[in-house]
Amino acid sequence: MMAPYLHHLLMPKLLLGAVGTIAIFSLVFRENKLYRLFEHLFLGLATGYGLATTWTQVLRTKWWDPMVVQGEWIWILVIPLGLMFYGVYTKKYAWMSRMIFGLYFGLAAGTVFQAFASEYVPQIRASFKPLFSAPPISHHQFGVLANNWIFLIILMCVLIYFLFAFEQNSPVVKRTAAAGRVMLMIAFGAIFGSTIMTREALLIDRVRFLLLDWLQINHFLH
Amino acid sequence: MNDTVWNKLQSIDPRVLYVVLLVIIAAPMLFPGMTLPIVPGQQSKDAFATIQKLGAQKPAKLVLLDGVWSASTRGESAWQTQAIMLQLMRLRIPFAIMSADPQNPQLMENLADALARKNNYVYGRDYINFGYQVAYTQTLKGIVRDIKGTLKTDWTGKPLAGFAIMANVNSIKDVGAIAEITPSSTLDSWLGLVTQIYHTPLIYVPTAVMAPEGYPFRDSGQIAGIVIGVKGAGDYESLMGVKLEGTQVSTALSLVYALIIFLVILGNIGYHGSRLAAKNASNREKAI
Amino acid sequence: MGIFHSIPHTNWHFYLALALTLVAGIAMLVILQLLPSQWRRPMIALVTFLGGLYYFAEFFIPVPHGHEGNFLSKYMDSVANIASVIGSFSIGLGIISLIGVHFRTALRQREGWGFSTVLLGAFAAMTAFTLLNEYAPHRTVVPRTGALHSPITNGDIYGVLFNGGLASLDSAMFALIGFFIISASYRAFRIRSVEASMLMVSAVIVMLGQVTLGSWLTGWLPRTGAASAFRFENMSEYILVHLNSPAQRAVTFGLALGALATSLRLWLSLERGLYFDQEQ
Repeated sequence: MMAPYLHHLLMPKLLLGAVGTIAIFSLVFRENKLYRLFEHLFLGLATGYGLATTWTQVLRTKWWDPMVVQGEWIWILVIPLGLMFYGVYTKKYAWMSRMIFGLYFGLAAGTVFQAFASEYVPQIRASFKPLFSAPPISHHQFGVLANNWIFLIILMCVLIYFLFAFEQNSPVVKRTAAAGRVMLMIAFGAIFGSTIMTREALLIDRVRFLLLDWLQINHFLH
Repeated sequence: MNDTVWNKLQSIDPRVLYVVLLVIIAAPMLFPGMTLPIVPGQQSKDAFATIQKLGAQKPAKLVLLDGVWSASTRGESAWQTQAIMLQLMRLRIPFAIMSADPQNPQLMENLADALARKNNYVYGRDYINFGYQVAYTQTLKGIVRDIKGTLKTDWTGKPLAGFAIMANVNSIKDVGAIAEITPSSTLDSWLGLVTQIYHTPLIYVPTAVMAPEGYPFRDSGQIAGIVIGVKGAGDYESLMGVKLEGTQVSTALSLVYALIIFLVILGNIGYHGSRLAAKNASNREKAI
Repeated sequence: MGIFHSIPHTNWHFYLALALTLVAGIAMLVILQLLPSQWRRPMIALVTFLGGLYYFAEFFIPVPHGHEGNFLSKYMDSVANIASVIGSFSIGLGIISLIGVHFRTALRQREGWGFSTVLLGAFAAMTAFTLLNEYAPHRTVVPRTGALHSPITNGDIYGVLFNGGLASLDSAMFALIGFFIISASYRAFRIRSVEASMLMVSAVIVMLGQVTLGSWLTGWLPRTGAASAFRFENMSEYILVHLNSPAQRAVTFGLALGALATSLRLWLSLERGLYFDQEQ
């Protein structure tokens, strides 16, 4: 009875994960060498994995195989271009690294126009909600119109709060901006409430791993 | 009551709180009978209905699962991914995995393989893994018009043209829906560069912390639904009539929330109590 | 790369083309370095501009009737591939810095050199076994012996390092925040103003609306009708859809305009600052 359970507890994949999790969690009680050991282990594993997968999933499939297997010799030009990144380590060639980074800034910037049109124009369009309706107004329609008014008021107040293009001297603008700030607090409260779910869910998942996947406590209790 | 009581209320040793937290998290796992019923949210229902509608079309179009998550947000993203994959498999909808994080292809593949064994899904015929993509923005621009030409191979290096699942998939037009499973702000890229061109339904599957950002796009109809964090996973499981990790986590989450609210109230009682006590003491001194 | 005729690698012309192209590429770098230094900033600006010009032009040039794209659209997959491959070469930047620091620490036995050694060992092991899992996953590393019921393969070791090591430790690192949220909520969250009260009320309603506890607390209210509005899940949904959404949209508009302006400045090399004004 004990042997299969002990075998399960000592399975390398589970044991490493469990000991590592406990070691990382030990930080909340006190900084200690066990935490630092696993912290460095994690950094090494993450760096090594990033390097290896860059080769196996990007460079090999999109560069090496097309060049060497399919004979697309022009891909060899990627080497001098890629080496330009490493100019950052020398003062003499640092400007070349800025050139290749500049290329990527440019590529990203070039997509912004389409992104703005596709992403934000529908947002602007959707902000023009109906505010009035011809009578008779049903109970449901009244609710929709009320919500549309609330939507518009919050949108305008928060937009005015963020307008720094002119000085907000007028009492009307100041009070509207102050109202916008209060309404922003409601949004921040929603974000705060949501943030807690993520953080706690990650912790719960780790505890679940320790108790159910590794120790298999449920087998003993039920 | 003197002010030291108020100060004590504000200064419980954090290590005691951590132990209480661990006990509270462990309790529902030790006593699985401690469960509360899940009420699926409207956003999860909308996302679920989008995939159901896709499944009603025969043959169903491919669904693209874009994974941006790594093991760091596994506690939410893995169970969201699992729930969506299970729905796709039950409806026999083919799907493809695409990743913007180096760890993600392996993590998504682990989930897909485990579910595939139980649902008779075959790699290459019913699902495929495109692997990790660098230069994310440029890749998204590329797949709009030519998926095979942009991605070239699956994550093991085999050409995409050789897979049965890719026979009729050439561009985003041939994709029925996209699920963006992410812990960061990658929604902008899909909305801005991909989905608006052929009006491909996009389901936003964020960790809970990113969820509020998705609501304006839900309002404008640019996204079809939001599967919010581990709660969304639990909602999905409830809608499918299963109890998996999303459901298991939900009771523990409820208890943790109760603890947090209790501690905030306790801390504020101590704070305001000590302020009031200090104010009263000061008034008494002035009177003397 | 359709515009360049590919050559079978069995043909010696292939190796000649590779060598000549590589030499040409390196010669290009040498020529760039030899150019007058006052040309450098304009060249960087030109490359930045050309980088953005493709996508800008592809978006704005009209699409002919009956087509799905203009004459630039067919090159999008090539541009994506080139960008991915060249961008992948930058992986070495972070690795060189990290490994360099820890290698020097380990070599000179400075404080913490033991930990640095562990980092370097883990780096080497993960790199090696990820590659071995790709190329020879079933090759035996440790043969079956008396104590081992089955041989240990490259794939097995990779599984331990990835699932047991990397994935578990990564999850645990981020799970730590869960503890600090508790102590922060208790120690730091003080309701001192109207804004703080609004934030807290909104947070509590959204929190309770997200979990089964909230549904249970207000489960006695009817699911339909006016009273259903006071169920926590409905109040939470209302806050998120009708109160949070317009505020987020307003913030998004501001950010979007800022991003557009910044992108335009970056594309046209109008940005100033430490990085952009470095000595050439």
